[in-house]
Amino acid sequence: MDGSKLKSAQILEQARLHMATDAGKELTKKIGLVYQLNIAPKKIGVDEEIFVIDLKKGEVTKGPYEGKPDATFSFTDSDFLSIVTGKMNPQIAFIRGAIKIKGSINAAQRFTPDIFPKPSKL
Amino acid sequence: MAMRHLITGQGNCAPDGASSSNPFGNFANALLGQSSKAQSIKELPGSSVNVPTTSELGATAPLSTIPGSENEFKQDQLPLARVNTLLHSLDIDSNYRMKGPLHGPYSEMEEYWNQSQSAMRPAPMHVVSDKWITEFDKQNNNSENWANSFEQQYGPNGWASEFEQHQSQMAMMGGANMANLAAMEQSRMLAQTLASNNDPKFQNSKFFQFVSKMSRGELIIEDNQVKQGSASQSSGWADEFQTQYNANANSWADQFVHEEMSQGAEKWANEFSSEYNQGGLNNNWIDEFSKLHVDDEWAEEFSGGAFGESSADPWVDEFQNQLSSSKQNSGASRGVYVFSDMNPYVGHPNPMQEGQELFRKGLLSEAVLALEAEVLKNPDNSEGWRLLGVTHAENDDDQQAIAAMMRALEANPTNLEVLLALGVSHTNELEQGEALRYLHRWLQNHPKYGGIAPPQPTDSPYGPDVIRLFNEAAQMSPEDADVHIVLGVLYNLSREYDKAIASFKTALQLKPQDYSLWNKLGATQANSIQSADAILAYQQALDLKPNYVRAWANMGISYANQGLYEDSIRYYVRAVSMNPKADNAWQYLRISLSNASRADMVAACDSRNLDVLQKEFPL
Repeated sequence: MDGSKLKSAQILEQARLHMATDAGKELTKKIGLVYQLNIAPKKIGVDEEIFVIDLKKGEVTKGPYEGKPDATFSFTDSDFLSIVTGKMNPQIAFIRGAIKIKGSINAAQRFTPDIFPKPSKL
Repeated sequence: MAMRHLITGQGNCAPDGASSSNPFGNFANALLGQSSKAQSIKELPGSSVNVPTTSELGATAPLSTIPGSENEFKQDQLPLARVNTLLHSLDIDSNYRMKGPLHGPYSEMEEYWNQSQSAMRPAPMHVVSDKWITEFDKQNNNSENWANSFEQQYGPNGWASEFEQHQSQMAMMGGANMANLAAMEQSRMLAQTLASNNDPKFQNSKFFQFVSKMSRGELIIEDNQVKQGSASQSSGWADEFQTQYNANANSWADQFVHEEMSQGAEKWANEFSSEYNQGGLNNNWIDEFSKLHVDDEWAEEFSGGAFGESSADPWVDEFQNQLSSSKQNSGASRGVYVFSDMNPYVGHPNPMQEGQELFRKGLLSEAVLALEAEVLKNPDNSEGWRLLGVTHAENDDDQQAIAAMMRALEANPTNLEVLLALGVSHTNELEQGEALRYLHRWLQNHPKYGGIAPPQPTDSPYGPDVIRLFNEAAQMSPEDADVHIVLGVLYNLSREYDKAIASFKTALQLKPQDYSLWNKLGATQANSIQSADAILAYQQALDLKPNYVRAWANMGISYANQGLYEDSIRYYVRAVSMNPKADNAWQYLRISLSNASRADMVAACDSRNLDVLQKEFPL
């Protein structure tokens, strides 16, 4: 996550730490899927940074998944943030074309804001 | 009701034909206009029927050992009789019949037919004219018996073996020519082919063609006077027919009654009525829809939102909120302050003083209004804007805080408090570059440490450099709490949470009464997954400032991040009831409600119904 200019990277860093907590371990039990996130600074598909949220192993890593993720999402940095913080409903985001999804739609539907810890405000 | 009776009556054809209790049978009879009893055949055109006795058939059926299934027979009998009546009613010219079969799709069969025709040609054709009918009727009038006896003799599947037996009989008789035998052999094969065809489509749709051919075949053999053989041969035909019929007419009727009717129509009707009776077809549909995605929160939201009662509006609302908030976002990120629509403090003689008073009392939302009135009145009042920004930050609205602080900075470009506040709010908004720039400017503009920092402004200061400069400043004056505070924020930006926590703790030793500092410590701990410690820090902040909305919201976040959704809900509700405009808290509340399986309260959350929520989740 280091060196990324994306806001999402900060959330993902927090998510990485979160995986070590009881609540994070609960997620791997509850969901147990692997998501790959292609996050673009401004426009989907342009200058994407790739992250993997492995809810099988409980890991968040940078770089593409080795193997086949259950679902791959493409969104912009700010749309990702909106989804994670509950500003935007993922379903609506998808309808509006703010998310592109590859892979199992079933797996994609389990990608919800509660996977991510919420950032606390100073 | 009649239709229903027809549908739901016993599926099986009853053995007694016309008096059958099978409604389908009755229905068919009604359509045909006659009973299935053989006697009625008398009335058919061109038929002179004499009714033979059972014994006659008995005489023609000397073989008597193979047991058949009585039940099966009884089922077979009715359709057979009906086929006969049908054939009679068709009044088919026997000559024509003799000449060839109807042209059906069974070219193979026709071929066999023609072969057998030529084989049997030597027999006189028209001698038979009525005879065949008589013969046929004989068998029919024996309807209780002829097929039965055959089955008794040969068993339901005995026709083939019988056929062969008969063939050999004929061979032994020596009277039969080879062509005849060959034809019969072919017929047998044909029969086998047909019997093995179980395709219901074939059996149903070609039913009558098949039947008429079978019947004619039977008759022809009679015509040829194949005595013993004729009986058994025709029985063979008949049996073949029966075999077909088993799969065909009988089961056709059965199938129809069972499958089409009971499984189809009746079931359908039942389903429909039961579903309909449950009332609210709509609800059912929704239930089913949500059942499809039971563990699927999105779908839940979707069905709850889009299809649930009275919830179409929230869905639309959400969408519009989304649109408006994104509009607001873009406005705020451009630093445009959004004023409240209705402000009772406009026209207040001294809104600044009023605002400060309200802020001190912790009535943050009221303070916002008073301070807005102040800056509307005096747009260049830096302190007014600054306090407005601080109030928004404490009210958990960083975007408005940033907008206000930027106006404050316009009025007073070197205000350290404003620069720090901007650094903090941009950090909260995850805008690292902005945050770093303001914090760097803090150092540049500091009377004491300004000498450390290179004076020329940089658009994109390098984080580690800035941190290094602040560490120098901290060495210069370790008793300056503010330097430690900025360091803490910087370490948050670089995600060195342990160092950030240490910096805030150092600052707190110097300024233990600074509630916002306690909150900063708590937030840092929370972001570094020390949620339990964070809650203690937030508690300190709230002890000092009970109406500190940000701390309440952060409390909720810490509980939620620990998976304690029920607890988090109470804190979020407290936060939003103090500041109904705290959008983040509302969004987090919604997430916690669905995670805590309190979907029942999501609507209240969507409509921002504080009364309901406060009653349901008291703190």
